[in-house]
Parts: sequence; C-alpha cells; structure tokens
Amino acid sequence: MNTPDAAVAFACLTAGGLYGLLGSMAFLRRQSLRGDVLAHGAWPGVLLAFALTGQRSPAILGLGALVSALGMNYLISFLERQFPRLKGDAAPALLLSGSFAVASVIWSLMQRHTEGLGQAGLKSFLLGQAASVQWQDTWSLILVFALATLSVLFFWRDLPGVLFDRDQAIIQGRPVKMIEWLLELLLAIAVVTGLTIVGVVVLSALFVAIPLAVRPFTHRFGPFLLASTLLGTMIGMATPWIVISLESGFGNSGRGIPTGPIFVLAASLLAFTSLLVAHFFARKSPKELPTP
Amino acid sequence: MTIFAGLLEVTLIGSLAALACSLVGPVLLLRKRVLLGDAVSHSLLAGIGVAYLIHPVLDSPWLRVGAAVSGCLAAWSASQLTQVLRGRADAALGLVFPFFFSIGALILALAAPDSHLDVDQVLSGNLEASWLERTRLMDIDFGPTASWNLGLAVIVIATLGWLGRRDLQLHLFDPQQGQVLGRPMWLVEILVVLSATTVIVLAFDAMGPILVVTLLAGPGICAWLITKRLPTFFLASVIAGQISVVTGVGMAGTLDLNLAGSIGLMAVTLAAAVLAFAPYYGIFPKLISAKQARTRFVARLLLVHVRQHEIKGDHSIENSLESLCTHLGLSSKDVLSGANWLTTRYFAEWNAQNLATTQAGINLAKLVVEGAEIGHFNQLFQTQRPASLM
Repeated sequence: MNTPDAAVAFACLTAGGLYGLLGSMAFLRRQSLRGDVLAHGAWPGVLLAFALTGQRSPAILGLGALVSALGMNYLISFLERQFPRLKGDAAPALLLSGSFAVASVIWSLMQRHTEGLGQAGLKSFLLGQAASVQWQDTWSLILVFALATLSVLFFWRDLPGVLFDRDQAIIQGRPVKMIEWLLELLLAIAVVTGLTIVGVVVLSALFVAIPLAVRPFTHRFGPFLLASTLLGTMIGMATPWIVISLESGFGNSGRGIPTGPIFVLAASLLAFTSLLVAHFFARKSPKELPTP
Repeated sequence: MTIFAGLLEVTLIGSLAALACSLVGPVLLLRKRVLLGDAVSHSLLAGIGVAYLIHPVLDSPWLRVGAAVSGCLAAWSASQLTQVLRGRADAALGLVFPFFFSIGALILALAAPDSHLDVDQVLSGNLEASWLERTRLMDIDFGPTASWNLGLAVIVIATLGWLGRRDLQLHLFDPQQGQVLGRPMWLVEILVVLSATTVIVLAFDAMGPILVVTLLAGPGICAWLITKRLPTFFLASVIAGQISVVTGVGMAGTLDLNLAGSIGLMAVTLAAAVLAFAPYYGIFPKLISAKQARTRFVARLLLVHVRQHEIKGDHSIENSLESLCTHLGLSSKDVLSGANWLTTRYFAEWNAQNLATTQAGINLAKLVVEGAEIGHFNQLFQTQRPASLM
C-alpha cells in the first residue's frame, strides 16, 4: 500500500476489524497460520483461471483464487482426518509448499506459451503490491466485513459451542458442520479479498497479532471477539496517522513510507507489549487456576 | 559442455540441499514445527535489511551473515514465545515472522528504494543460477560455493545428530523424561533450532523459501508413514529427498520447466503417492482393510444365524439367500461375499440353495457365540482343510 489517503485509511480500518474478528475465531480453533496457508494456496487457482480464460479481470482471478483456497482448506481437513499424525503443522506445510510448487510450474509453462504477455497484473494480484488502493477495493473489504459480522451475529448462540465443545454441540443438534463450513468460507473470502489489497504478510500478521493482544485480558468469548474487532479497527485507524506523522518527521526526503509494514509493526508491537504486561502482572499476583 | 556441467552442478547442489533438508525435516515434523521453515525464510529479510544499512553493497557476504543471524533470532524467539503461549506454536510463528519480514521490508523501502534488492527477488530463489557463484582459492576453481556450504552443513549436522542420538531421541519423543534423567534438553533444543536455521538459510540461498519447506515436509511425511523406527525414518526421508531431486531435475530438463518448482512438485507427488498407498496407513490400504473387516463380520453373522436355524430345524426355508438377506437386513452382495468367505474356508457350503454349516463351521459358530479366547479364535480362522471335515 502507498501513501495514505482516505481510501487507504478506510481500507486499513476495515481490514483491521475484519481480520481481528476472523483471526480471533481462527485462534480459538488453533488455526492461526491458516490465513498464510490459504493465501499461498490461492496461487495455483489464480494462475489456472488466467490460463483458462485469458482474462485478467479481478472477478475471474478472485473466483479462481477462492476455489483454490477452498480446495486447499478441504484437503487440509481431509488429510488431518485420514492421518491423525499429520495434525497441526505437517498437512498445512505440505499443501502450502505443494501449491506453491504447482504455481511456479504453471508460471514457467505460461511464460513459455504466452510469450511475455503482460503478466504485471497477475503479479500484482499475487504479491498484493497494488499501485494504490482504490475506493472499490475499500468497498469490497467493507462488504466482506459486513458479511462476516452479520453471519457471526446470526450464529452467535452456537459459535461458542462449535469453537469450544464441538461434540457437545453436535449432541445438542446444533448445525455444527454448517457453521464450520461458513467460517471456512468466510476465511477464504476474506483472505482472497485481502490478498490484492493488503498483501499476504499484513493479512497473516493481523490474523495472529490482534487476538494475541487481547487474549490475556479476557476469558470470555463475547468480549474477546468484540475487543479484537475493536482493537483491529483502532490499529487500522492509527496506522495512516503514524505513517503521515513519520513522513512529516522525516521531512520531504521524497521517500514514501510503506503502509503495510507499519501496520504489521504496530499490531505486533502491541501484541508483544500486551503479552509482556500480562506476563508481568501474572508474576505479581498469581491467580488460582480453576481445577478441571 | 558448460551447460551440461552446469546441470550436473545444479543437480549436486539440489541433492545436497535435499540431503540437508531431509535430515532436519523429520526432527521438525516430529516436534510439529515444519512451518518454522516458512517462518525463518521470511524472517531473513530483516537481517538482510540491517546488513544493507550497515554495509550498503548488494552482493556482500554480510547480507548472508545478517540473514543467518536474523533467522536464528526469529527461530529462537518463536520457540520462547511458544512457551509463553503454552504450546501455541502456530500463533508464535504467526506473530514472529511478519514482524521480522516487515522490519526488513521497511528498511529496504527506506534505505534502498531503487536498488534491485526488492522483496520479490528475495522471495523467489533461483536454483538455475546457483552454480554460477564459485569458490576460488589461489585461482583454482573448486566448484560452486553453495555445494561447499551445504556439504559442510550436512557433515556437521549428521555428526552432531549421531553423537547426540540418545538425547535427540529423548528430545523428540519424551522431553520430560530427558529432564528427569538430567540430560541437557535445553542444549538439544538450541542445537536443533540452530541446525534447522542453518539448513534453511543455506538451502534458501540456493533455491528459495518455498522449496525449502517442500523438501522439509515432503520426504519427512513420506518416511513418517512407512517406518516405525528413528534410524529408518531418517534413511527413508533421505532416500525420498534424493528421489524427488533426481526426478525433478529430469522433469525440468525434459519439459523445460522451472527447476525449483518441478523438484517441489516431485516431492509433493511422492508424498501424495505415499499417503495414498502406504501399507496400513495409506488411504487405499485402509479402505481395503476396512472392506475385509466388514466381510469377516458379515461371515460370522451369517454363520451364527445359519447354525441357529439348523438347531431349530427350519433351515430348509430360512437359510436360502433371499431370506438371509431380508432377515439380516443386508444386501445380497454383502451376503454373497460373506458366504464366499465361509465356503472358501470350508466353514459352510451351499446345499441345494441353502447355506449349511460344516463341522468346522459348527465349532466356529460356538466360539463366536461364547466369545472365545482371541488366540484360539484366530487359529480357527485359518483356512480349514477338507480332511478335517471328516
């Protein structure tokens, strides 16, 4: 992302809220790296969509990315179901690197067959180095955020059951499978949307840092979700301001300060601080842990 | 001629990198830390940025030193954070690597906005060109630098692993037991992280971050599904790594593809093949054994049912195929496969449209109903010889 204007500011704000909300649920499901994995898993889909249709419109490439990311998600859960020993790290690592290898093979095939047909658009789609964020990008982020908020509110009563005690929720006859599918779909949509606008690294940082910053200070589900959404929004609001003040502090050296790294640094420094504070206070007054 | 020599040297570099990765991969897999490869290779950017600030030349060895230091720092802080977060390794990695990456990206964007050293270049390795950098000593060409680095790393790591094999085993399977025995588990932890980072940095230098993760995870997963002991685990992993490099180079050469990508593709294909066909654990063998278990169950059910009707005396009506299907609620295919299981082992035979038990079948039915001792039971499950029917 480039020098902030109003569109960038709103994009930061919405991205903070969106990834705070979805990341806190991913954190509770022990899938904090899923954002990173899905973002890499989208690459073969983008390349295949371009190779098959020959068009570079964001809608078609985004659809390819979404299909690819969802397939990746399904493959991870399939592998983890079939091979319990691959749980945790192994299946995501295999599929992440595998999809990247497939993508680079397709890439080298395409470079041969399309004879340097301007792939700049594709590259910016993959690396998220959009020249600048337009209002339409911001609107699509806002749309996804609204979608995520609405579906979380709609399933508010069932979410804790799905996230904390899946078996109990199934026994009670709650629509667990559907909610899990919905969460995964939302995750994939959010990742694919953010891929072009905020970039892979910012996305996966927000996914982890914001929930971690909130987690030590609350032990209840609702406040956790609300606080991480609000905190994400606030960091998103603060980021353009930090960038602008840093730029004015550096004087007009003619170098724009990139927004993405500042966003990541703000969020992760906040997370480190909050972990440190929590650690410090836990030392001062050790709380009795409830015995299971 | 030079291109051919280059291909040989590239294959050498690739196979050494695969050797290093497949030695470290099983350790990371067993400790559930493979994504450390991805995280460390992204974190290198911070060290590259800082080294560039101190000494702004693009091809200085300090960039590599800085990369190695920041990789080690990232791996160490991730393992510390994992302890703070009570074992949430995913969250620790996810917090650390974007932080380091962003520091590097920020420094490079501010200090070197128009240099060639952009993020894109750092993240895509170039195995094809890795042999161009040579080691020269007194004007004698000793071969590519990457192969010397990787070979040295392999020797050091293999020696360390062999010397500390007992402690490594404790570290992998039961670290608490190691602490109880008074072994220096912290040292093992540090050495493992250090050697993993070294391998990742060196291999990353030769072929990019993603292929590193592929070569860490792919051969390790292959070996994990087909071995049960640690030495064979390492051996199988090394063999799988070498196979994927050789086939990958061959595929890239014949089809003119990206070298790193095709090696990665072969590693993943090999892993997929093992996941599908590994004995006992693979998807298809599991399906087959589930089907066999079902057939055995249906056979026992049939045997007891048939025997009961024979005792009652209504076997001439009840033991036909149709009534067996309806009474047991099974499809005729299931019943036929169960009956086939029984008849081929001489527990039963078809007697004018009816299934009838033999003497061995009567014994087996008794045992099934009484819940026989397993050993005896298995003995009965062996194929009966016709002579024993007499």
